[in-house]
Amino acid sequence: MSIKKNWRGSRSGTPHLNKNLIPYAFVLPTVAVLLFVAAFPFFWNIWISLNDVRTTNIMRGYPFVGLKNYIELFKDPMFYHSLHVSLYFVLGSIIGQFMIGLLIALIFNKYERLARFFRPIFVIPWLLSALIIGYSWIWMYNYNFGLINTILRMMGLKPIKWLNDVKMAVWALVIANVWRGTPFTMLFLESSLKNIPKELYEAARVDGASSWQTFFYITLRLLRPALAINFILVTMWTFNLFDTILVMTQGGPADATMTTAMYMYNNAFKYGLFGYGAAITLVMLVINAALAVVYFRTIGRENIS
Amino acid sequence: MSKKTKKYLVNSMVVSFLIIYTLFTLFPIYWVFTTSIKSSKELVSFPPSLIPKSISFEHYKFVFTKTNLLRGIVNSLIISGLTTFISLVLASLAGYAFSRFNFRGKKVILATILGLYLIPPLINVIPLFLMFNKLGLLNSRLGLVLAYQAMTLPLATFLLRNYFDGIPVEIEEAALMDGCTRLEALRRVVLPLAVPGLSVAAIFSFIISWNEFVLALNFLFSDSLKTVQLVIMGFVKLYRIDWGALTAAMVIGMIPVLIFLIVAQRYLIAGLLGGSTKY
Repeated sequence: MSIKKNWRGSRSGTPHLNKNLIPYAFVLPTVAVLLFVAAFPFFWNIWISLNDVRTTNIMRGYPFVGLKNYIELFKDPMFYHSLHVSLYFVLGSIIGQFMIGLLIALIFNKYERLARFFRPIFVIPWLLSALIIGYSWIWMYNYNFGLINTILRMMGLKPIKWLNDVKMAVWALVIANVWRGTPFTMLFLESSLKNIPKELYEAARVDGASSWQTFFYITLRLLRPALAINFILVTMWTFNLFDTILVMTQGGPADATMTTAMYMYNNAFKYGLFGYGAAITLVMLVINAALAVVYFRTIGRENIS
Repeated sequence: MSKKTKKYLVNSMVVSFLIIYTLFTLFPIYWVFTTSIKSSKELVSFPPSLIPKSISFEHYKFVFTKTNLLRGIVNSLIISGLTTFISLVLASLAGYAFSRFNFRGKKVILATILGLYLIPPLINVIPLFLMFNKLGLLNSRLGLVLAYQAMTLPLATFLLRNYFDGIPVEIEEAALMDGCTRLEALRRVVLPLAVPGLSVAAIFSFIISWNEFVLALNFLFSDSLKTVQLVIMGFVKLYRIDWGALTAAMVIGMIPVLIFLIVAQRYLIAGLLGGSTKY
C-alpha cells in the first residue's frame, strides 16, 4: 500500500502507518498557526530587545546593541515610578476583587436560587470590551455630568475630580478594574467551592465545630490551591493590563497612572522605541514568573492534615 | 436572639448585599444607556437627570447615518466571523485528536498550547507588529484574524476537547466499522452531537475578537477596515466629545455580547470556567 493511500485512510481496516500519523495530521494545523502567531513572536521578542529597533529604522535594518536596552531600563527613573504605580494598581485590584468575589462565591454556593438570578447580571462586566468599559467609567467619573458626582452632590457632598486628580486617578482605575475583574474571581471560586466534599462539612458539624471554625479550617484551607491559581492569574492580568488604562488616562495625569504595562505600551507605540519596549516586556515576564512561584510556595501548598 | 430571627437577619443581609452589588454592576451601563436616549437639549442641562425626562433616538439616528459605525459593524462581523470560523475548524480537528487518540508527544503539545495561551498578549504585541510589518500583514483583515488565533484557538481547542470527551466513543466506532474515515466520522457523527460545545467555543471566539481593540488599533490604518471598537474610539479623538453619539455607539457595541448572555448564559458561564479551571 502506498503511503498516500494510507494517509487518506483506506476503507477496509486501518494500516499501521495511517493509524500512527492521523493524530498528528489532526493537530498540525492548530500547532502550525500557534507557532506562527504565538510561539515565534514570543522568542523573537528576546532578539528585538537586544536591538535598537525604532519606528525610524524599522525598514532599513536596526543595530544590535546587546544589553543596552536593559541597562538603560534599570537606570530609568520612570521605570521605577511605573513599578510603584503598578504595585498600587495590582494590590488595590486584587484586594477588592478577592474580598467581593469570595463573598459572592460563598453566598452563591449556599443560596442556589439567588445565584441563578444574580449570576448572569454579575457576569456582564467580564464580557464587555475594555474600550467600552473604559469610556463607561470615564463617563461615570465625569466631573459635571458623571453619575458618581451627581449622587455625591445630591447627598450634599463635594464632587471629586477622579481621573484628573493625581492622588485619586489610580484608585479610580482600581474601582473600574474591580468592577471588571470580580466576575472572574467569583465564578472561579464558586466552582472550586462546589468541589469541596459535602461529607467534610457534616463531619465538622458532628464534631461540634462552629461555623467560623468550619470556614477557616475546611473551606479556606481546601480552597487554597484554587485561591493560588486565581491569585496568579489575576495578578498577571492586572500587572499586564493596559487596555482600560490606555482608554481612560493613558498614564496621566502627570504619570500618576503610568503602570509598567502602560509605560511599555507608550514606549513602543507612542515613542516608537520597539527594542526598549521589548526589554520592558521581558522584565515584566520575569516579574510574572517570580510572582507565580511565590504564590505557589505560600498559598498553594496543600497541607491538609 | 432566637435562631429564627438570626436566620432572617442573615438572609436579609445577604440579599441586600447582592442588591447593592447589582447596582454597582449595572450603574455604569445604566448611565451609558440613559445618556444615549436623552435629547441633546437634556444632555447639556446641569445637573444631569438620573432618570431621562425625555426619550429621543436622535443619537442613534446620528451614529447610523452620519458616521462610519455601520461600516465598523460590518468590518467587525467579517473579522470576528472569520476568526471564529478558522478557530472552530482547526480546534475541532485538534480537540478530536486530543480526545480520541493516544500519541507520542500528546502531553507536551497540550502543555505547549496551554503555555502559549497563558502568554500575556502584551508580550507579543511588539514582535507581532514587526513580524506583520515584514510580511505585509499589517493593515489587512487576514493579519488581524491570524493574530486573534493566538487568543481564540487555544481556548476553543480545550473547550472542544472537553466536550468530545463527554461523547461516547461507541457511537463513532459504529461509523468507523461501516467504513468511514476518521475525518468523516468527526464530521458526520461527532460534530452534530457536539453542537452545544461548538456554540460555546464559537461565542467565546466571537466575543474575544469583537471586543479586541489594542491590536486592531495598531495593525489597521485604513478607515475602510476599522472595526466597531475603533470607530467608537474615533468619536473621542474629536475636539469635543459628543457623549450622546458616543454612548449610543457604545450601546450598539455591547449588543452582541448581551444577546449571547441572554440566549446562552448557562453555557457561557460554564465556558468561562471551562477555559481556565479544568486543565
